[in-house]
Amino acid sequence: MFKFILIRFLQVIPVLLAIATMTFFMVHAAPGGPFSQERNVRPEILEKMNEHYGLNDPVYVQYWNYLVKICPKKFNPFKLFVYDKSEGRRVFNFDLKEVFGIDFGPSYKYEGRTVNELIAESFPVSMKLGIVALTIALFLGVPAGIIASIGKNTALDYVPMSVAMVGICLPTFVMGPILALTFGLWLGWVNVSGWFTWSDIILPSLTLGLYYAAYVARLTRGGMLEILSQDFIRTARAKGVPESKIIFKHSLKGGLLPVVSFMGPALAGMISGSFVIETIFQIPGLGRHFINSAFNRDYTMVLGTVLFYATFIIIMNLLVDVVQVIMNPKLKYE
Amino acid sequence: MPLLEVENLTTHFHTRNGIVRAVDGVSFDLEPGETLGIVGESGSGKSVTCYSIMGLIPQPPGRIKSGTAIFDGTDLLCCPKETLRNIRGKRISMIFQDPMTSLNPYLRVSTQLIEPLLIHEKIDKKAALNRAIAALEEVGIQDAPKRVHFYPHEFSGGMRQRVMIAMALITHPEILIADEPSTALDVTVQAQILDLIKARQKDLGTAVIFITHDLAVVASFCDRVNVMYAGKIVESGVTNEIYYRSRHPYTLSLLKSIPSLQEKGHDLYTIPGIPPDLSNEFAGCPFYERCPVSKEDPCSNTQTALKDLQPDHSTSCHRYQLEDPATIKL
Repeated sequence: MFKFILIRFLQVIPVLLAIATMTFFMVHAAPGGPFSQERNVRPEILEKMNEHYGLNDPVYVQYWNYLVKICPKKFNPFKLFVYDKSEGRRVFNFDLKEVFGIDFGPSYKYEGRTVNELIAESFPVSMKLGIVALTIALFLGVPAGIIASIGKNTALDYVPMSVAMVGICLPTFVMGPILALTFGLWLGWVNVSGWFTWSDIILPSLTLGLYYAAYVARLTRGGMLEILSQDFIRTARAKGVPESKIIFKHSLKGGLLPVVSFMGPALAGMISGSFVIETIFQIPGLGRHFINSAFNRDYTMVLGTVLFYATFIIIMNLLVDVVQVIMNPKLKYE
Repeated sequence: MPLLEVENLTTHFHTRNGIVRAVDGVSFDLEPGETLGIVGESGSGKSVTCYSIMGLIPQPPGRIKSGTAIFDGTDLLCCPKETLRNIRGKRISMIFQDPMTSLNPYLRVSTQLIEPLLIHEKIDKKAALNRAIAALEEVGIQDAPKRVHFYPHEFSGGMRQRVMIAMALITHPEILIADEPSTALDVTVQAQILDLIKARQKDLGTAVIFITHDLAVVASFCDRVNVMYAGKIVESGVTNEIYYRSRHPYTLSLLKSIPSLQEKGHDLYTIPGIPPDLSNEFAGCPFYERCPVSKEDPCSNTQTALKDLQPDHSTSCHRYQLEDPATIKL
């Protein structure tokens, strides 16, 4: 188990290096630069800014300097929770520089802010939203899929699966406004948008969660049907095992395997934030930075968010692999 | 008094291509402690007969159209689900053809072995585990206290079938239905498994319904044999009668097709044609098209029924029912 995780961890290094390299050269190859949108800048000042940020150096020098900066240099997980005097307790502080010695550099667009700061500020928001959405996706999707697989080809199957199909087909930019209109504007139960009170999390997490719940439901149904048609289920029936145990004890472990594999990328996608949802509901999350930084040619921000997201996906996939081995005894840590 | 009385069992499958009459009016008795063989080629309804009795036919598409299966005063075919579930795995249990797929790969062998005990005998886990270890030892698995906690994929095919047998017999059932238990195994392992079933049957006094298409196995293993063809029992009787004084052209053809009984250097004998399409109803004998004996009435237009030739031997063949067997040439 430990060896498995270690090996997988070592495999992460070349993957991240490749992602960093490709992203670096792609953003640098894109026309324009971080300051080309600024108006009325005298050429000398522009020159000075480029000089200050090292943008006049040859690209390979910039590349090397960047790699050195983002290379993790320490590991200090205790720094994740720092003592806050005004609160009088330890609070979560997501500072990549303090914890790992990773410095994504200054943002070219947000003056005086570092990419580390921006991620530290927006990521917890996205994570909170993502975790609630994940809970909705699993607690709605899995039971719906199980019910559909039990009542295969009956109303119990058709109704949830049709709803799920609609859920998959309905893009979040349609679902979001519909929810905002209904519950925010007409019923007035929650705010239409914003990120101020606890109830502001409901609509965006529903929008995000329902979409994934639909996928989870379909995957659960498929996985369960596959398992329920196996010979060993017949054996269990021949043993006189009650139907509830056939489902929960004999089938669920195998039936949820497709859901688990799907959860890896889905988790990363949910937790690292969705641009569309964050825009619709005006949430200060990480998702917006992805898109905006690319438009702004904010080189460091693009690289920072991409690498952060990539690391996240890799970690989630590793987690999924570990869970799969736990669930499927035929797989070994290899 | 028979342990199990099956009367006129008819199981149909409703498919897109019409109604498939998988089992069509099958009747037989099973005495306590005896071994009853059911032989026939693929698709003759052997397995479906037993699945129907066990209530393992998925409905739909399957439908048990008629019949009764009386076990200890209970009709297994129309009793409440709860009653049937209490009998299944406790008083009647079953082993299946493919030990590779018949054990749950996601659960430890121990979990699966003790399950019948926990469900039917309501004993605590520890006692059940001890019984499971004993059961594994009885089927010849070495180092049982350790291996009981293995997963099925950590056993070989023959070992898995031993686990299946241990699991089926752990509640000391009165009837064991063995659905081709040796077909998927190596020949050497086959013999071991058959010997094991025989030995366990002797110890526990279990009646065995043995489904197979291997006539040699039937000859050495069974007290009585039902030969099935196209969803019907075409010949039934004690094993020696069936083998040495067969009274049905289908049984005779089957026996004639056993490779080891044929002369070397000649083409192997096979029954011409293919089994009939079960979605059509038969006007006459279902074997008529392939029958080497009869090409005339009444075989083509009169439906067959089992008739006793003597107390322990019955056939559904019109010719053998009407004529002196000595005059019939195969």
